[in-house]
Amino acid sequence: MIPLTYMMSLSAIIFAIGVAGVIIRRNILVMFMSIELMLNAVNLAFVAIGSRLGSMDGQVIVFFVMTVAAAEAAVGLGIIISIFRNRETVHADDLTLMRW
Amino acid sequence: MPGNPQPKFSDAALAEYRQLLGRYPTRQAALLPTLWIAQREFGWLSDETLDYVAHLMELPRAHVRAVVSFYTMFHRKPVGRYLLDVCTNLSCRLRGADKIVGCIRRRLKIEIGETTPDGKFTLGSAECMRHAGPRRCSSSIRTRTSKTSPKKASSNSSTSLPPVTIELIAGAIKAILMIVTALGLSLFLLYFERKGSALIQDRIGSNRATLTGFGKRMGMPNLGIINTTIADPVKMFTKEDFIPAGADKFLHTLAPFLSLFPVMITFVVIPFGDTISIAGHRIGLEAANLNAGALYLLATIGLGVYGSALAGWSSNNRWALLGGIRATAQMISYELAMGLAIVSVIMTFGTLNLQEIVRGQGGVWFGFLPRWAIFTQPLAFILLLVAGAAESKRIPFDLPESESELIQGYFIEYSGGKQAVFMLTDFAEQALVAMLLTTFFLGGWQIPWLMRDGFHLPGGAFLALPALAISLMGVVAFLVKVVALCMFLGMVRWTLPRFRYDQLMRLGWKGLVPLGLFNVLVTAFVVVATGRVQ
Amino acid sequence: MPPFLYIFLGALAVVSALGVIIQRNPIHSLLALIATLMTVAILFIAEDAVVVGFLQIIVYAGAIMVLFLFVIWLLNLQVETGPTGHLALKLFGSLAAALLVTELIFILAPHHLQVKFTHEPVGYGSLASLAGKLFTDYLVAFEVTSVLLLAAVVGSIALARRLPGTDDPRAARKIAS
Repeated sequence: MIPLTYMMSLSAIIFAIGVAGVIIRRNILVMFMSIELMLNAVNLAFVAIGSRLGSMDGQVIVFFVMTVAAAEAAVGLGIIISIFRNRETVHADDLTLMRW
Repeated sequence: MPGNPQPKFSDAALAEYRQLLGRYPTRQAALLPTLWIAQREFGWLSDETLDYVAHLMELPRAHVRAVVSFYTMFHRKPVGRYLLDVCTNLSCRLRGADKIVGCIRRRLKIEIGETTPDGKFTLGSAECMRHAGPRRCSSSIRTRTSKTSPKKASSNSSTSLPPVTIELIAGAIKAILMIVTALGLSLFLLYFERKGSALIQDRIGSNRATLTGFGKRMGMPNLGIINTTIADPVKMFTKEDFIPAGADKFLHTLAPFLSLFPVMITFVVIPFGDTISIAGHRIGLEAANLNAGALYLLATIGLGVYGSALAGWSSNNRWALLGGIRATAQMISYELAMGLAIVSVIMTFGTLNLQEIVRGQGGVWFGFLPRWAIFTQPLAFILLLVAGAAESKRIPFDLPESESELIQGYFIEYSGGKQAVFMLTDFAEQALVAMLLTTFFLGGWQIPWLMRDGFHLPGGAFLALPALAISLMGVVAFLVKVVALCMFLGMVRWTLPRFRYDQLMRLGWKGLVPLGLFNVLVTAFVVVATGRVQ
Repeated sequence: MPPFLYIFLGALAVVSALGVIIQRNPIHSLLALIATLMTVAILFIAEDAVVVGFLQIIVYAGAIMVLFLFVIWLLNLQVETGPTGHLALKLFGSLAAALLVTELIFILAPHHLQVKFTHEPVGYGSLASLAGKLFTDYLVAFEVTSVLLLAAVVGSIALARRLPGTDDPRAARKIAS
C-alpha cells in the first residue's frame, strides 16, 4: 500500500488550498466551495487511516461528514439566496451592516 | 523410490537431536523437530523411518504415526525435489487457485498427490490462512527443495501471458464491444424513430436518398435506411460548427462530451452473457465485474445531469437556459425514483453485483414460471420504466426539448457534430434504460427454462446443448430483450402527449418517490419474513 | 494500484483544487470542484473504501454540486471583473496556507509513521460492513443525522422562499424605471 505520509500530505495540501480559498476569495459562493474542499480533504485523511488500521470506523465517519456537508450546503445556499435578495451582492466585503 | 529399510540418523543428525532434547521438558515435546530432522535426512517418512524415530525417542509407534498424520508438512509418500503446494481453500479458489492447479496438472500431467515420473515435481493441495482481500493474491505456491526450507514463489502459470494481462485485454475488448453495440443500437433506434414513427403516424417518412439508385431502378420500395443511418449522420458531421456570440466557449464545447461520457461508461458494467471459456480461460461476459456494480450505475446516471445543464447555461440563449433548467430539475427528481426501484431489486437479490443479480434470475417457480424479478417486483419495474424514460428525457417527459415550445431546448445553439453527439446521447440513454430494465427485471441474458446444461422444459423434456452455444444464445436473448424494450419506449414516444412541467414535478416527487419508498418498505418486510437476511 | 497512478491522481486533485480558488468564472470553479471530487472518489476506491467512493460521486458530485449550480443560475453570477481584494489579503492567505501545509506535512509526519498497516478484514469497504457499523455502533448518530437532514430541508425552504407579498427589489426597481 502506498505510504500513509503521501495520502496525508495530499489531504493537507488540499485542505490548505481550501483555507487559502476562504481567505483570499471574497465571493461567498467560492468561499463555500473552498469549505467543501476542506471537508473533502478531511474525508480523504479519514479513509486513508481507516483502511490502514483495518477499521470501518473511518468510512462511517466519512459517511456522516458527507451527510452533514449536504445539509450544511443546503442551508448555507439558502442563506446566500436570502442575502442576495436583500443586498444584491455576493461579495463578502460588502456585507458590513453589523460591523462597528 | 523405496524407503530405506534400515534408517539411521547420521552423526550430525544425532548430535542435532541430542541438542534438541535439551530444549524441551519431555521427549514427546521434541517429537516434531525430530521428525523434521528425519524428513530432511531421508526425504520422506516411510514406515521404517517412523519406527526408527519411535525407537530412538522411546515413544509408542502409534503415537508417532498419530502426530505425523496430523500435519501436511510431513510426507508419508516419496516426494519430488520441488513440492508445489497450491491452496485450494474457498478464498483462494475465488482468486483463481483452480486455474493454477489446472495449469500444473496440464503441464506436468500429474494429479493432486502425485509425483512426476522423473521425480522432480509433486503437486499437493494445502490450506492457507489468507483471505480473499481485494489486493492480496491469496494463491501461494511454495516450492520446497529437499534440503532448504520452504520458500514462497510467485504465481507459476504455464500460459504465455500472466492472467492479469489476459483479463485486461479481455476487458478492453468487451468494453469496446459494448460501446460499439451501443452505437449500433443508437443507429437502429434512429431508424426506428424515423420510420417507425412514420408508420404509427400514418405517413411514409424518409424514402428518397439512395446510394446507387439500383433499388429505385428495379422498382423496389425505398425503406429509408440509407437516408436515416448514413445520409443524416454524414450531414450532421459535415455541417458548420459554430459557437454563438457571447457564449462561454469552453463550456459550450465541453457540454456535449460531458453529456455523452457518463452514458457511455455505464455500458461497461452491464452483463450481456454468462461466462464462456476461450482457450482455457473463463471470461465473464461483462466488461467490468464490479462488486458494487449497482452503485456504479447510480453514480454514472447521476453525472448525466451536467451535460444538459451546462449546454443550457453556456448557450447565451434564454430558451436554451429554460430547457437546461427544466432538464436538470427533471433529471435530479427522477434519479431518486430510479434509485429506489434499483434498491428494491438489490434487496430482493441481496447483492450489488449485476452479474449475480442476473444469475439469481435463473431457475423456475412452480415448474414453469421463470424467476425474473418482474414477477416479484412489478411496482419497481413500472417505477424504473417511468423514471428511466424521464431520465433520458423521452416523451412523455421531453419538456427540456419540447419541440413545439423551445424548438430544441437546451441544444438549440448546437449544430453539426455536437448536435449529433447530443442526439447520440439521447438514443444511447434510451438503450441504457432498456438494458437496465432487462438486467434488473427481465432476467438479463437468461432464457426461460435454459439451464447451464440445456433446456429443461416444463413438460419434463430435456434438450442438451454445448456450453458455448448456451452462452451465445444468452447474448442473443439479451439483445432481443433490449431491442424489444427500446421499441416499446419508441412507441410510447409517438403515442402519449407531453407532461406539463408542474405535472411532471408532481408525478416525480409526490407520486413516484412515495411509491418507491413504499415498495422498499414492503420488500424489506418480505425479505426479513422469508428469512433471506444473513 | 501502481504508484504512478496515485501520483497522477494526487497531482490532478491539487491542480483542480487550485482551479477552484483561482478561476474567475463561478461555473468554472464549480467544474474544477467536481473534478476534485471525482479524483478524491477514485482515491477512496483505491484505498478499498469502495462504497464510500461511489457515495461520494452520487451524493457530492451528483447532488450537492447541482445545488451549487442552481444557486449560481438563480443569482445569475457573472464572471468576476474588477479588483478582487487587497494584495495584503492575498499575501496573508497564501502565507497562512503555506504555513499550514508545512506544519501538517513536516511536523506531523513522524506521527503518521506510527500508524502501522494491519490487514483488512474480509469484506472491508463493502456495503454490508458499512451498514453493519452504521446500524449497530453508530445507530444514534444515524438517526440524529436523519433529523438533521429534515431540519436542513425545512430550513433551506424557509430561508429561500419568497414570502407572499414581498416583491423582488430588483424587479420592483426595473418596473418603476
